[in-house]
Amino acid sequence: MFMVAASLAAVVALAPLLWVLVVLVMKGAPSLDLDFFTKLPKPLGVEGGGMANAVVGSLMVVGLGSAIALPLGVLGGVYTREYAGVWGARAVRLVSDVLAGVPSIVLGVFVWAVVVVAMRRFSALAGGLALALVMLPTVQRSTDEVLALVPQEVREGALALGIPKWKAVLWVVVPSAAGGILSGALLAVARAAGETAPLLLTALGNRFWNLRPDRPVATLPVMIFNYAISPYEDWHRQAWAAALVLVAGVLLLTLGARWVLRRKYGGS
Amino acid sequence: MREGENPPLGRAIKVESLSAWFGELQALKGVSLYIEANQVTAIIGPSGCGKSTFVRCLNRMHEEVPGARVEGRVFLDGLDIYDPEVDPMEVRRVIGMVFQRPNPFPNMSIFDNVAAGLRLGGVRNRRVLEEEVEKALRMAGLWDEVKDRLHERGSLLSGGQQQRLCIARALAVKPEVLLLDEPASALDPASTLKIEDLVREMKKDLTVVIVTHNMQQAARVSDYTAFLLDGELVEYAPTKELFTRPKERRTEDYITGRFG
Amino acid sequence: MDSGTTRKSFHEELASLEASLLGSGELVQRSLELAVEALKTREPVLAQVIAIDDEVDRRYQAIEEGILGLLARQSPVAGDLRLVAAMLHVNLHLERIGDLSVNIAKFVEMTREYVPSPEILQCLQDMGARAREMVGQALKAFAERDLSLAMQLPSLDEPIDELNRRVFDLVIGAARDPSLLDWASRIVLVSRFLERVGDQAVDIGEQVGFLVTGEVRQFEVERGMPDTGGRGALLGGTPQ
Repeated sequence: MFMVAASLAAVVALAPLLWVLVVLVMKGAPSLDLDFFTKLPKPLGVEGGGMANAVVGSLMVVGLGSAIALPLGVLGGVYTREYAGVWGARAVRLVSDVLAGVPSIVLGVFVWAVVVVAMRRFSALAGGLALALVMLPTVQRSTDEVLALVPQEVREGALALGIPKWKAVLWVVVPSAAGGILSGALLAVARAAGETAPLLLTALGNRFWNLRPDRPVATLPVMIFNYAISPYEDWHRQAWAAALVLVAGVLLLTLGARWVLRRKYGGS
Repeated sequence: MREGENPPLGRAIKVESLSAWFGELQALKGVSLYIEANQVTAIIGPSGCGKSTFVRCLNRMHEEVPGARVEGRVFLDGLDIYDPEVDPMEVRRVIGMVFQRPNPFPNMSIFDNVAAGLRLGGVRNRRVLEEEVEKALRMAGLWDEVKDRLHERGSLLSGGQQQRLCIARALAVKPEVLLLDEPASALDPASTLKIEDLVREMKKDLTVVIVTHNMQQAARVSDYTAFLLDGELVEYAPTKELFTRPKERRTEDYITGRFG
Repeated sequence: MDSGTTRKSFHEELASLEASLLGSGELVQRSLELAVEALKTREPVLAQVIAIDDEVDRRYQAIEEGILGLLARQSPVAGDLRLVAAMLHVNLHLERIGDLSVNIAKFVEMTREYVPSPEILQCLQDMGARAREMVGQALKAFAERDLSLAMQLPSLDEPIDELNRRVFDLVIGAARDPSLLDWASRIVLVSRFLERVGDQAVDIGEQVGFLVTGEVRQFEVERGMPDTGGRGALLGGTPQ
């Protein structure tokens, strides 16, 4: 009886996900063509065009965000688990949890106030920073937790060889948690890739190519937002296509994370 | 030992009034003894008597526990390892340790495991590493079983093999003393006997200190036995003496199973 | 596995083996008593003595097997190990004493028709009494782990040796009386048996020494020290 109820619950939980995917594919696939990835958006009112700049822009801001958040987050996790005293670790974990709880729009406002206003322009860099703030607590926490799973005996075994603590952490402890750290990082990246709110106030958007970090840049989530609320049918189509691409990208990252995890830990 | 041969590599350890604390709790109370070079010394006693703590004080691992404290002196060949000028890392290089549960480094191959101490100590030369790894694995009695799969992961070996891998890893950095903290307690009887044979072999090249809760093992494997109770050294004697004619009532009661 | 309880049953087993051994000791003393009495009274005790000896032999086997089993299963150490080793030896000594009693009883049986010499008979009675006393004391020393009691045994053995020599002299003297000669020449063996009982008792005492001190030493009477009353001392060891 319980088994039936549990199975039913699982179906109910999965159904919306599958529904979303099905709808996305149905609506988005027909509009997906090579143009999407190669052409710039056409001016208002003109049919056609693509979102090449948004694809590149997303890669840029996510890339910048990762470049900041991943090293800081991993090092932060290493610090709290391997080096900090009880109070230091508690402090960092508290800050991390608080940051994780801040709505991403607020983080966007923060970066706007601090970076955009100071630079007097919207920019990919600001977008990257906002995403970094979103990613940082996740990476720090997952690194911390994965390191906690490394048995204490591994650390003792390394120290007992007569090597300094930093070498033991860097060359033995962290590598033994590498799979978990990597998958935690990939999941954080996947989440950041889909963030829209912080980008609205930082990267803003751009109808043209831009590879400069100090200028506004188009990103897929923001484009989807703008196109979806527009009155143009053509833009709606393109929004669906963009949504499909975004979800596909996130799915790939998530699956990638699981694959890495399985290879490192489930290999036997 | 014939004229002209190099003296054996092991060294003697002189422990003077060693006391150790976990915060407020005193685990060792003024233990003093002399561990003979190139001999196997067993430390026995009931659970909680301080034998693991004792051994961890010999390679300065005890102080890694937050709130832990050590007093007293431990002389290795005349040098106090607790002297403020002495680097604990150096002590651990010279006094190695094998733990109760086999702990091969995860995600590392057999070769990398054994070579870890050397590599992280600065040895880069591939050939040197290969030679030393082979030597260490031979000494640990594991070479023949793994020589064709050195690049497989260490964690795929059986429990007994993993423990011998850990022994090889400890031996690779060429310590003078090897501390074994209940090395066979997590293993099956056949692996246990292999480890015991190994311990007896090793004393040719180093001084061995083995903690065990298994008295028959202590009797089989060691030349000297120390009996600890509640953090104190009750009796220390050649093994044959301690097991046929102990001097202390408490020792007699413990080893004949009347308590503990 | 609670080592406390396993060891409890081990110590119980050990205690019961020791009780059985001491029981054998009682039996052996009884059979010795019967045999020596019969020398004087000429009563037909052979069957009884043999029956007792059969029981002693049975116990000997059982104790031997029990000890081997304990050694195999329990790996005794320290005091327990010494006790087990000592019991193994004492077991054998008791079995020998039992056999010696049977031999004495057989001779009584065989020489019933002969004419005894009262003098020789008296010596034998003396020897018998002392031998019984020695066995009793040796077993008491064992049961109580009393080393000083055990160390008195060699000096108790001295008179028996002297009496043995005296019997021998008397037997030679009896050569002049042909009616006695037959009996006397045969009864010399009885004297020898009783002397050996004394030796076995000293051996048991040596086991007590091993049990208590852990050293394997032979007892010997101290010579040239009349004021110690001929107390035994451990050869080469310091007096306890």
